[in-house]
Amino acid sequence: MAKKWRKVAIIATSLVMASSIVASTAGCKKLVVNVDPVDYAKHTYYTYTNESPSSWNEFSYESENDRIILSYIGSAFFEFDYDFGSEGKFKTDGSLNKDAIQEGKFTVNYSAATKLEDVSAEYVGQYGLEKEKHSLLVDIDDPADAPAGKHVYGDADNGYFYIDDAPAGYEAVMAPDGSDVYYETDPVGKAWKITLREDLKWDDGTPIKAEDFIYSMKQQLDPAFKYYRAQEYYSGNFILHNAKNYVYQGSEGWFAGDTSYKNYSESIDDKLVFSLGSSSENSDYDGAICSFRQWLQDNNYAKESTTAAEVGQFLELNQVATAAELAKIEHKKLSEIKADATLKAIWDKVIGWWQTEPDEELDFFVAEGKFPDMDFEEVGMKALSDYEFVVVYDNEISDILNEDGSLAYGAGYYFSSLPLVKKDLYEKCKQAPSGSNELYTSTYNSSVETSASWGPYKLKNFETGVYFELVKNENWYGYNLPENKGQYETDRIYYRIISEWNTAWQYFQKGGVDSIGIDVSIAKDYKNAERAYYTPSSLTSSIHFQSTLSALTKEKGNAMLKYQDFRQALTMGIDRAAYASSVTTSSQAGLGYFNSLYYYDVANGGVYRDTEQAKTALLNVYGGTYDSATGKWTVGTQTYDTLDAAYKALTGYNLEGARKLIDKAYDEALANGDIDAKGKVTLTMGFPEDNTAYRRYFNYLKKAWTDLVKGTKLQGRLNIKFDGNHPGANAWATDFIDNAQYDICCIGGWSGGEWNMPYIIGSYIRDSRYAKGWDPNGADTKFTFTIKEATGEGTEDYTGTHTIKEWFDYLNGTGGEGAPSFVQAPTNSKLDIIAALEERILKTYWSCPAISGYSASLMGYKTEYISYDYNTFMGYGGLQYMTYNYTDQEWYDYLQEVHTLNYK
Amino acid sequence: MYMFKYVMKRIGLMLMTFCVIMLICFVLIKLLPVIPNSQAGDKEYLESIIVARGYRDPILVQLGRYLKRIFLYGDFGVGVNMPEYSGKPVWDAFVSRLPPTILINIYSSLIGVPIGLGLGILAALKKNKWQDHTISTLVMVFISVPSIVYAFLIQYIFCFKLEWFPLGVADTIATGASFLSWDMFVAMMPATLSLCLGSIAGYARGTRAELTEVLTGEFMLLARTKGLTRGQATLRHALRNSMVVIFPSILSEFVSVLSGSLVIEQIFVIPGVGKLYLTAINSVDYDFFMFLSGFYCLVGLLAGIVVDISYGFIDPRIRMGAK
Repeated sequence: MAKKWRKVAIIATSLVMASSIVASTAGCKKLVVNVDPVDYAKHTYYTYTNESPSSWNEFSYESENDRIILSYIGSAFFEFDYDFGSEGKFKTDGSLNKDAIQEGKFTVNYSAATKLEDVSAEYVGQYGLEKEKHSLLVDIDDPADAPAGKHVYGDADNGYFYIDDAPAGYEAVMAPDGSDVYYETDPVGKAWKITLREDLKWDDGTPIKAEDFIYSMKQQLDPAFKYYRAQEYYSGNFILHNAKNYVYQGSEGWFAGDTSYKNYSESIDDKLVFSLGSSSENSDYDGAICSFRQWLQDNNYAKESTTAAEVGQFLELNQVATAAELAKIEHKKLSEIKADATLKAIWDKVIGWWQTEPDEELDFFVAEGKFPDMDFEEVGMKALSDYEFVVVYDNEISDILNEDGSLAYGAGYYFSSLPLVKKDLYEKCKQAPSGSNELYTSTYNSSVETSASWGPYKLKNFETGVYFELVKNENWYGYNLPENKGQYETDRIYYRIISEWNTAWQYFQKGGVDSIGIDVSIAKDYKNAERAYYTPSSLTSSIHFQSTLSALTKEKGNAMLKYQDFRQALTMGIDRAAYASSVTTSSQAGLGYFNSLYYYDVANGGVYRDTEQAKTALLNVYGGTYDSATGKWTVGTQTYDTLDAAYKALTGYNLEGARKLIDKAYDEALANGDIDAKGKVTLTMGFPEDNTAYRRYFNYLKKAWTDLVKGTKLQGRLNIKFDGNHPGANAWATDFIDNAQYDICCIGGWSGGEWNMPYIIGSYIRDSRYAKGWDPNGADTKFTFTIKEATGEGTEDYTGTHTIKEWFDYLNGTGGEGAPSFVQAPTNSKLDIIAALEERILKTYWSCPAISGYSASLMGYKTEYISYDYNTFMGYGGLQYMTYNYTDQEWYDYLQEVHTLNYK
Repeated sequence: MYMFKYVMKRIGLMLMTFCVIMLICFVLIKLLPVIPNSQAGDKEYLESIIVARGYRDPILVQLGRYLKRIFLYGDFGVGVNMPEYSGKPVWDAFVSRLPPTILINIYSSLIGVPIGLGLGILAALKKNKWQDHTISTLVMVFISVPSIVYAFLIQYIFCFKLEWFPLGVADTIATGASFLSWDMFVAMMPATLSLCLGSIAGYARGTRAELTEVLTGEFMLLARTKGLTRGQATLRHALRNSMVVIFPSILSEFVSVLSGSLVIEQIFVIPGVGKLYLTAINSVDYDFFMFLSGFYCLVGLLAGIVVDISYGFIDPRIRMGAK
């Protein structure tokens, strides 16, 4: 019996082991990656993503992964292309003239659309469009300032003004109540007529017409679905007329008083709740805020976080009522207010100050109600014919057309498409509400069967977590365009889902992935490889110091951070180039908030960092001094003949200077009692988790700062701690910015907005900034500056002394009513103030740039980009211009021969 | 009859435990802040989406709806915040991902159990000889080194260098191969080996320890004096006795591997369930979290019962429920 058992055991073990060996040897003749040629494609681009897309429905997509498929199955009205200069895109033999590509330049061309017109003037009186009024009343301090012949009105108490002449061709008009004299102009940039190509088709051949875009927008805004992306059409840079009202229709809950009730009458007094409070203060009222407060926020008199008490103070300053009085009626019903003589007296003051028209009582209240129903006809979008439609925005959309009528960069950048779904398929994909979900949902664009394409590729296969595959959409209009001749060589795109970079790297070396980013672990061997290429990113990572002063205490040992000299010293003690190469694969030292991808003048290719103003700003920040007598710059002990030479030599690294600042800050802190004579400085660096990558940051900075304090009064007294306990999405940022849980954040930064510098500089000023504790509107940030031709070419210069925040607001025209606006100032004038703002913000030393983002990648032997010079507008030309050194069959045969590719 | 009563009692207790655990899970996940689709944009609108999904209703109301949905319509819900699965039915997502995980688990057990037991027996029988020292040393190495290390090594050596196996399982799935095909078996071998090396070491160590102890028992001496050969005595008496401890560990290993291995699945590109649970928690996806919690909780509880009952079969002296 024992023998029998032993035999069974031996046989079972042998079988299992043998099957493993057989299994292994059986596979050895095949390639270890699947690159088998298929009969429906000649050139396949193999790539990978770390996660499957889940839904590429334009109305609701959420992740960047979802956008992958969308980018292939959709088209654009207008598209960027390389600027091939005077030589043209094609050579005489018809091949692409890639040598003619103009570095850094671009063109914007019509693609799915054939014509774009600004028809705002034609729509005055419709969709809320009105003529724009320009007041002719000019305020003056002294009657003598009035031009000769102009009658001066007013008096010393109320101020003087005169009435200017209307420009030629315009008539001066007096307001019916005599309060203003103005002239009117047609609105511009609000209503746009788009003419579509007549050969637009879905991948099954169904024609696409203007009405399809209208239908799609109606679905996008459908309140029964509450699509996540719906808000983009009313809360972002493009406010589609009535989009919000359409989305909100039928909603029940608390709203501003004039939303719930169109007219005021005493019968609704017990429905109206007085509120100046913020959304968070009004959580009992669904977060609704009153229209008056909304007006304050829109005009930058208040922020979302401003409290009711602060609004009260604002009204007190305007002599409406005291803050204490207003606090008494906050959250009281109007009926309660009127019933109490004291409260009524307060209310009378408020409404007496505010009201000029009927029903304006409602502006101060929130009320429970229902958003009125709305017909889609009232939304600013309608078809004019089969191939023409108009879209009307409440705000002016600029930089879309050049003066000569050609397309400007804005057309390609943010006006290139509107949502489009295939009507019959979309209707089939609608899902009725189920369970606790009151919303309709849709399965549109979530599988091969529910997908439709009007782009260059269509989805052929999709398996979640495994792969997806796209092939050419033969019904795409673009393949017939002469300007696309010789392009789109890729006829199949194969995405593998690979989460682990090491696995992807092995796939790449086996020919199963055609390009890959270089991880820091292999950077040493591959960053200088022949097939390596570098892509700049607009990301600038900074070292942020905790600016919430209450969190900087002697007890914690971090109070030294309060001292600007100390913060400056810490940043001067970092060799940024060495730091960048220690913690990243290929990034470079970053001294300013904006790198070479930022344009101050997009139309003319004006790169911000190349300008004299931007270079001067950084030299001023990092210790450069200019001798106006000799015209030379001095940085440290070196003198340079030119600004460029001094700028090139700038590193921001100055140990000697930094040590002096450490001692200076220490003396000051000692005198202020922020540190004891033998006290230690303990600074905690926060990270999401404890891993090798974050340890690299920590180790480098710890060593740099430990070296920095050598020979200073803090020698041996600086303790840098690692805190890798901030897991979860963005917890590391929230814990630093909002919760002040640690002292130094070195992994945060800003990117994007490369073509909108006036706006993006606000990242360092807004509430979401990393160093939230310092006040960009504080008196200590004031500086005097002169904006040339402040309100447009040929206008007068503006000189003023304002805070950083105020200058920023004026630059963006968001300073509120009566505040200066430099939106129309010439580009160079805006450049001046942007550089001045960058310099001033840098000099606070709360957020100090350290690393300018670059990523390194390897391009496989199979494919080539048209150009390896990165173009901000075109990247490397993408799949449109990608060419192949091997067909799929040739590649397969080649891999059978070599098995492993060597890219060193 | 005793056994039947005992099993019924255990199942009843299991259901009660299951309900309590699920209730706790439901309440705890609902106590976490709801994650809106975005931090930017129209907050009022984003909030209204959350309200319309019923996430602001009292937790008990939500629980009532959840139970109604499951028991009346068999609807386990759809992913809301889950990357890869937002808008997709929870049940479909789970079922589509389960086969590779189960298969690898089965292959791992099929390879791991006989080898592990075999090595354990050999080590016990050759106690303190070179065979035992070699096996014990290897066992220590394989137990100490995390499976991620084997996984990388196995992938690099057997897939990348020797090219015996495909780099990833997904490539084979993409060709349309059946999960039970030879190609799939080959493709799954590296992941299976990575998973089972640790198990082999565990089984070997456990078997050796138990068997060594049992072999020194007086009843073994009695068995030999009865005239049984060493092999007969070892297989019939010693091994069977030691299985009382070893068998439950095999079952619990099987159950734990059923939840998938995040790292192994990522390295070998296996679309398994390993990542689902963690992602469901991180993204606070209620329906996914509840379903997966329920599934693993049920599997764990059932395994407990099976293990307990198995004692009775392995060792007839153990009689469940007998007074």
